[in-house]
Amino acid sequence: MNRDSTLRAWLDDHGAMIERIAYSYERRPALVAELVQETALALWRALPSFRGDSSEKTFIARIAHNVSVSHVRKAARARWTPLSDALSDTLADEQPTPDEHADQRDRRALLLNAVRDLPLSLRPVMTLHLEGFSNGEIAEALSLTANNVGVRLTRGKTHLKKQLGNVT
Amino acid sequence: MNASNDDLDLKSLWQDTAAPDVDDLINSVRKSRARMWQLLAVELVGTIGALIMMAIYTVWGVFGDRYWFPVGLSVVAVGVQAWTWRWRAGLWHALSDAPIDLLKLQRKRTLMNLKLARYYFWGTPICLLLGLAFAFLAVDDGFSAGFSEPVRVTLLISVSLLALLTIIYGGRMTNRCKRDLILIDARINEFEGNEK
Repeated sequence: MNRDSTLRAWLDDHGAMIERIAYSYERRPALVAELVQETALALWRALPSFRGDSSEKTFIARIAHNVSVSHVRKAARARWTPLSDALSDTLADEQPTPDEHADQRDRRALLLNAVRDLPLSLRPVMTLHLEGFSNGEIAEALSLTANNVGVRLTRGKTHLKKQLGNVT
Repeated sequence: MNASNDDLDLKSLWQDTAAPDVDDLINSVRKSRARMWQLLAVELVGTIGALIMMAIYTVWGVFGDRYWFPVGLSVVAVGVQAWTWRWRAGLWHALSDAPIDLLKLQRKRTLMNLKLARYYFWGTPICLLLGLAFAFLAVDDGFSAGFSEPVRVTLLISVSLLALLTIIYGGRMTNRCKRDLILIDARINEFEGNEK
């Protein structure tokens, strides 16, 4: 498989994860779209360095986090967005849905905001946990020890619980 | 509902999103790559063009027997181009490193940028003064010996304009680097769990 078709396969399989990771750093959909595009370009560039030492999902998650975390200028532009604007921005593109779907959508938006409000020391760990990564995979993706991941996960869950209250 | 069910519920809630348009993403990657190649081609043509012009002027005898001048300018042109490419390579090669290592590398690069910006800001007035000296003082046996008055005036105007632009650019770059540095430091602290 050549580089382009590998990138396509990766984006097909993990595009949604990349977008969710970008949303955990940025509030505005336009900036998220930019971050997702930059992650795609970074993946294309990094493809030759992928040796299969870790799973492709771990590799992609690490690059997606790194692209987002190193975007200080975009963060500076976005940091003054009021939370209510961000929430309506996030929901703006979604189609009207039946009540139960609207409820699901609201709960998801709340979860997204709660994750985004986590300190940076906990956010990537929590994001990958929500993506279904095991503690070992999170440790590998973020170059942390398994113990450290465990501690951060516990603190992250406590933070989330506090933020979300009885959402779940 | 127990903690494990809560966790599963949160995971399914989190993952319940549509995938982005992959065709759009692939197109954006292609466009970015095309832009990079176009920029590279334009810069290569510019640098090679400058070298050819320098060679032609030398053959025409514009610089007389001061061969060090075209050679020096050519070396500077090639050096600046090579340095620009290295600089513009950015952080992409380190994007598969650990996030904290990437942030520390980004901090190091921003500090280098800040030094460079200060050099632009303070170095250009010195260059301007040197330009003035070359153009008007060293008339007999200095660099500008043999250059006519219009050439000296053109040189002065060019150097002044270049210096002014560089000072403006250096000032803006300094401010931007300082802002970036504050944000990067905050991110490093936050990432290491030292947030207040």
